[in-house]
Amino acid sequence: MVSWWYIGRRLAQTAVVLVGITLVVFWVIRLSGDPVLLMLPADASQQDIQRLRELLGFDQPVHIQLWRFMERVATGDFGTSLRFQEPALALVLDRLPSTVLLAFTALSVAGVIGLPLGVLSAVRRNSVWDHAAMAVALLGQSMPIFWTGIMLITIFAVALDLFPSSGSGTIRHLVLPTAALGFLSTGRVTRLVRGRMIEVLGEDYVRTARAKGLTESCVLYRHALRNCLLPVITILGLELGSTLGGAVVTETVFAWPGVGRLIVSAIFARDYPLVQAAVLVVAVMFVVVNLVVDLLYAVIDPRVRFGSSRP
Amino acid sequence: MSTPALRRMRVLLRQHRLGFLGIGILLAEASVALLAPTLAPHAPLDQDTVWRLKPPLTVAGAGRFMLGTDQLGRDVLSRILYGARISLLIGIAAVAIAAPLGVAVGLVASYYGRAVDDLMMRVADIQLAFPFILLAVTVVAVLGPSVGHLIIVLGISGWVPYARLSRSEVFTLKEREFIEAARSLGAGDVRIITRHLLPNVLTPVIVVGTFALANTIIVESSLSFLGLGVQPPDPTWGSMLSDSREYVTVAWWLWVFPGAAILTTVLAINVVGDWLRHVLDPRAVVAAEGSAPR
Repeated sequence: MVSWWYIGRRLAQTAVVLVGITLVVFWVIRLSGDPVLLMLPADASQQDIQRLRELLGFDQPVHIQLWRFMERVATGDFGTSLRFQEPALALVLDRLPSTVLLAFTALSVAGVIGLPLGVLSAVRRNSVWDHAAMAVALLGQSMPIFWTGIMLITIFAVALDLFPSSGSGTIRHLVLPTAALGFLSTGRVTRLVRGRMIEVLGEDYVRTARAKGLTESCVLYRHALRNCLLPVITILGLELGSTLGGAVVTETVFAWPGVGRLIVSAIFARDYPLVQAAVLVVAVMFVVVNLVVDLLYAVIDPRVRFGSSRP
Repeated sequence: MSTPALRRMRVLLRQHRLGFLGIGILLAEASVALLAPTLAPHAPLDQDTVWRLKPPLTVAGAGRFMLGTDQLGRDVLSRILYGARISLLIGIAAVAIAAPLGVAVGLVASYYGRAVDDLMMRVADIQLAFPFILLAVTVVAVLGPSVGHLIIVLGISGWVPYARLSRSEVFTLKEREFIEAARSLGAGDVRIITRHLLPNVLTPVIVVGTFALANTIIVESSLSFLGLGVQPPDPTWGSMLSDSREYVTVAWWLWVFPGAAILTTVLAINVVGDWLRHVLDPRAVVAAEGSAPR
């Protein structure tokens, strides 16, 4: 049983972080001085500027603006999109399923390929397999994802005409973005699993298991792999979080109708209420994923409950 | 760094051929970036629409276009050379801001502990709650995209890994005898932090900084790709790739060469980072590599 103290502590920390996030989102669009000028085209008339200023409450003192902003966010009112004239939150939630779908398929690919590949590399250390897997992993981490995307489009969509280059709707649309995202995450997972596995294979209890005469596969899967799964859960959680929140580039390359692309188009349309809402939603999601990972971690590994944070 | 450490580095460098190769590539690239004005066969902004979208090795009136020309007839090779300057400048400058900032926060937080530590780590949590690229995109859009703003945004938002790292190092260090000895000899907080704790966190910071440099270069090119980085007509690898999207089918050289430039640079830095980790700090964690924008 996870101690209530630990859960309470993590929940309190999460609450602080959520308030902090709201403050940052409030503050960011005021960085340039006058957010109203940011939202209007350069040739807007003085009357228009004044009207929007009053409409959005920017004519009030800052502390009142902040109070109203917090009040609205707390009640789930994230403002109205300037471009669509619809509640910003609804627009964001509308795009959320696409982003979640993409994030989960990419993560599954990373887990399904990265985990066995990492174990194999660790067991056959310094073999041809190991070197090849590490080279591919390093490559995956060093390629900017938009370049991977352009390459995938050129080869599989344009030259071979196997998959559509952009858009969404069918499973075939999902293949190329998943491949691009998966390539990046798989590299990280493989390297991490390999590193941990090599560490674990040197532990005393693995030697004991071998000495007892257990079969090699039993030693590997029952004893070694189990003990290297904890950091893997962490890294998968982090990967999920950053894909959920920040697949901005991938979604742009493949014209995937998710939250990331919504944010980019909202920025170019100077639709800052929508940007605020989307960034807030995404950050909250990221925090919640991290909280779940931490709690999961505590359930699986009793040592964490007594420590102060994730190792 | 002491001489034995230097000697050890030299020995290990000889053993680690990949690391050697990585350093070689980076040095070559740095000199190319510095010498871009003399090395570039053409001016990077010179347009010549007669010679637009010409494949590599085309010979024109103004000379040879080794890597072809883009949609405005500009020389791709020259643009890549000049792009190296911007990418490396932004990367190095951002790390030079982030590392000292993060180390300072980490040292102070762990040295004083309790409330100060709690506060600073919550700020780190808040920072980490924003997917990096998202924060960068928003701030750059609000401030207006320019090289200076990019450096500031990437520099200020990159402090967390350094802070966490130096914090965890200092937690074990500050209980050690040599700190107690220094204190009993009358050393103040500032002296203990700067003279006794700081030198001990520098090696892992170098490792983290190397990976952060690779990551920063990818972030910068991603922002330029999205149109929120360095603005046209100034050449950067990211914006060249962004421009190439409409010509993917007709002009392969427009996306192959700038992409290869990014890949080579980032790969070289990562290999050097691996080597440094191997030499300086075998315990350093994978988390040091940070999360690339996606």
